[in-house]
Amino acid sequence: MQIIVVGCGRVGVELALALQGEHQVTVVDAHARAFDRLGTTFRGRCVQGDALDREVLLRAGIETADALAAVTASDNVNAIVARIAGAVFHVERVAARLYNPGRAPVYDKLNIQTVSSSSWGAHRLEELLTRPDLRPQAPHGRWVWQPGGS
Amino acid sequence: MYVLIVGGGRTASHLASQLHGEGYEVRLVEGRPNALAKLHREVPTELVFEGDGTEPQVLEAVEVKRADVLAALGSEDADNLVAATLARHLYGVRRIISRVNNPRNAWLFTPEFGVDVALNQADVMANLIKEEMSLGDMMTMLKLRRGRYSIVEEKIYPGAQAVGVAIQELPLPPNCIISGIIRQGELVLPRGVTVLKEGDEILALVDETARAELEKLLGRPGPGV
Repeated sequence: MQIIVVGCGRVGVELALALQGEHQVTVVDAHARAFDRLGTTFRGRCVQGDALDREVLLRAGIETADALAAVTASDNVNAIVARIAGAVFHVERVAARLYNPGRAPVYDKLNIQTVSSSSWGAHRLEELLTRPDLRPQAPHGRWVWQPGGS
Repeated sequence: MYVLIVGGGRTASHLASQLHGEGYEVRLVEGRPNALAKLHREVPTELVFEGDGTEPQVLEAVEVKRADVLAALGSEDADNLVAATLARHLYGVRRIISRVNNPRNAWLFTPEFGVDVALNQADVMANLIKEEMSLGDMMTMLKLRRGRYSIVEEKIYPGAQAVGVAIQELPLPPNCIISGIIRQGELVLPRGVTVLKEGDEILALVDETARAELEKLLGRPGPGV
């Protein structure tokens, strides 16, 4: 798939690097320096510019993109970018990251798919702490289901 | 009439004071501590609601559904677009006006994002400045029906084809109505017998074709004219 990641912060970098194995990834950020965080192994494209700027989105290939993730540091920028992708360019899969989980129900009503990193993190931690069938497997915060008793 | 203003910069406080003075019901929503300190000095405290106007809970607290007009005047375009989108699509506010901070983002300020009227401040200022500089250039004052029609203003250029000609004798294109003449700062009602003079400022309602034709009559005379 052709995937656009808007916002090259910690989440954007990790997402872009995770996706690049099987997908064609383009990362967008307002600051060119942010792309340094991608390191030397990143093989996708980087587009510098304001994510609300039509030219920038076109350069990132939004007209032909299959998916877009809006993961900048601003909830409002993420929501608007997600709405542009869905409503204006008809990108099939769109998700926005929210810091403030209180806004999620509102965005649902506007057909903006959101992920609240704080609630998501809290729920995973809750599972990790309280469910005996879920065990950490690796030191990097990944865990897997393990059948009870193993 | 209840007017809700989201974002409390200088324009917002100026507008709130004016509307309040004219007897309108006004609330001004602002969340940034720095801006708030200033706001409380500039407008009556009871008009100010402290909170982020892009949060649904905050909008509900100021009874957004009851608002006749919402003006999104924040300094971040994404914030204005979120406030407008929520106000229109979630709360059904009928009239929404928004400021555009970065002209490159102007394309987003449409009914899709809840905006009825977008005020692109860089563009507004640039046009006013160009208008003050202009001699023989046509200025667009207002665009109607997404730019199909416009109200334009042009100062008659020295030696233009229209100088010394009565309006009824001007070969005006079909979709062109001269609606006013400003002569030495005074409004002159255009009549068929009114003779145009150099330096007259002509206000006209035109479509795109008529605009080009009118420009030829009023502007710098071209070769062969």
